Amino acid sequence: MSQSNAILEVKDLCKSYGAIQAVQDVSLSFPENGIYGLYGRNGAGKTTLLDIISSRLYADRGSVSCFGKDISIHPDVMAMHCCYMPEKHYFPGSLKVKYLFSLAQSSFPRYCVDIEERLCRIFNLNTGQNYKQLSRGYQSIFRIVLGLAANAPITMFDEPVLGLDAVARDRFYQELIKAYSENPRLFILSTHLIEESADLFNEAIIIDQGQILRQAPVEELLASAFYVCGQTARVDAFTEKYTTLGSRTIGDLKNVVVEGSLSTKDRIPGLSFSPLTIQKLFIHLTDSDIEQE
Amino acid sequence: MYKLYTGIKYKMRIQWNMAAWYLGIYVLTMLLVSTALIKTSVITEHDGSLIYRIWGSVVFLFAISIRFKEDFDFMLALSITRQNIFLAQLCTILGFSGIFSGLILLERIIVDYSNQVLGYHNISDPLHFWAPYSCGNLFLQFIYFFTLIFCCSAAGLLLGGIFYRFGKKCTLIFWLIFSAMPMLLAPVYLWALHQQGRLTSVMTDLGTMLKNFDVLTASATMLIAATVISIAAWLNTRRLPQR
Repeated sequence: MSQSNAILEVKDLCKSYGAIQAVQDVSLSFPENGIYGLYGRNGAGKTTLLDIISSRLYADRGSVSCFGKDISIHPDVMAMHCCYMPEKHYFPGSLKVKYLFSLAQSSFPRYCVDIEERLCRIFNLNTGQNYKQLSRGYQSIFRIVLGLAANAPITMFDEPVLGLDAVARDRFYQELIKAYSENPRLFILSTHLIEESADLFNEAIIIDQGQILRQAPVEELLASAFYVCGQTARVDAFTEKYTTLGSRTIGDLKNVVVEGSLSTKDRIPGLSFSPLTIQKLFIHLTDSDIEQE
Repeated sequence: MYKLYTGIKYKMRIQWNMAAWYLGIYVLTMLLVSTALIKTSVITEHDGSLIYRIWGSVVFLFAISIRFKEDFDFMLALSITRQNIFLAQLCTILGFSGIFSGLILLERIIVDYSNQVLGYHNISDPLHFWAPYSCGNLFLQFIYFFTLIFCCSAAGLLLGGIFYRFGKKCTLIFWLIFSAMPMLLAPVYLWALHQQGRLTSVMTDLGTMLKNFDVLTASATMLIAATVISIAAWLNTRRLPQR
């Protein structure tokens, strides 16, 4: 698929709030359907990025294209193809959940009532209540049900599992995969639960201080760094030719996070090598307080 | 089109919920406080007249039109474009202008019939430009209240959008200035006129204007004002970022 016909394309996006640069020169491309994870620390710019993509906010510079059309010129394109469930609760508390679903049904052209009913059963969501009567967890469940039932070609969730217990989160992940397998489309999820969600994603995007640090398949990210541990002098000699992301020294032992892929021939005796988890990679990429070399 | 339909359906439901409460309280109050129904004239020798007050709903409809934040945020969550959000709000305003103008007309018909049965006579309110039931033409009365409600609701919509865009400080400043007008600015203005010896002539001119008040001209003026205000509300809404 050519770049110009990508499902979603973000080019050189910039957005600031006064002196704070929330998003800086962000460029992303989503050429195919898939489930993409968006990771970032608090205040990294995840929500601002999703808000701009979904037309909730306007960028200072840059463009967002959906199926080749600039959404600032064709706002109806995003309205037709996108369902975005933000972290904030924008639903009127005085209306019943059932009525809110009926409004969503008339708003999203591909909305599936069967999916809505099935998910309400799975999550035990009481649709007879007013929205404000739902607990925080059930308000998140409501957003999940609505987002999945909307069946939009582009579905985005900002912190969808906020307030959910482990069982509900597991059900959500299963239903997300099921929804994708039945109707492949573009999902973008932002979440803080990195280890739990990493297996879901085709690609992960790491954003920090408004800039994209990494956008790659999860396997590629996992292979992009490793631990090396051993005596300090030996570790220092080994890591001379590498970029390091962080280190920790205890006595004469040093543990360093090295950026790069490790081949068998690079392993030297006397040092131990181990892979990083995606969460550890994320921490080392985004935590400036970690001891650096 | 279905997105616009969804927006209208939602707005009509929300506003109707509030309007139903208003109408219920209004009817209950009028039934419980029966003396409020009757007005005794100090100008003529007639015994009195049943009167209607539901035209005060103009203020109520202005107030509920200012509600903007919840509706705008929710309709954006349903991926409704800003254009359709504005059109839904406008259609709702026009719908409620028609509904309440009809209710005002209905109340007038009931009151006029009741006055006939009870032997009361209609009193022409000196300030009849607020409630022109001295206007014999029911159609003109409908048009007058339709444009009045439309104008006030459009003003509420514009204010609601401005408050949303600029935040709580703007809301506070606006209402401080608005409430200061009758309490502070009006007395100061009247005192200034008195100091200049122009108070009597200004009051005379005002009285002349009220006597020459024409329902049709007033309706046309309010329609033009409502159109201009609605355009301003659209210009504010069309690129309004979500807070």
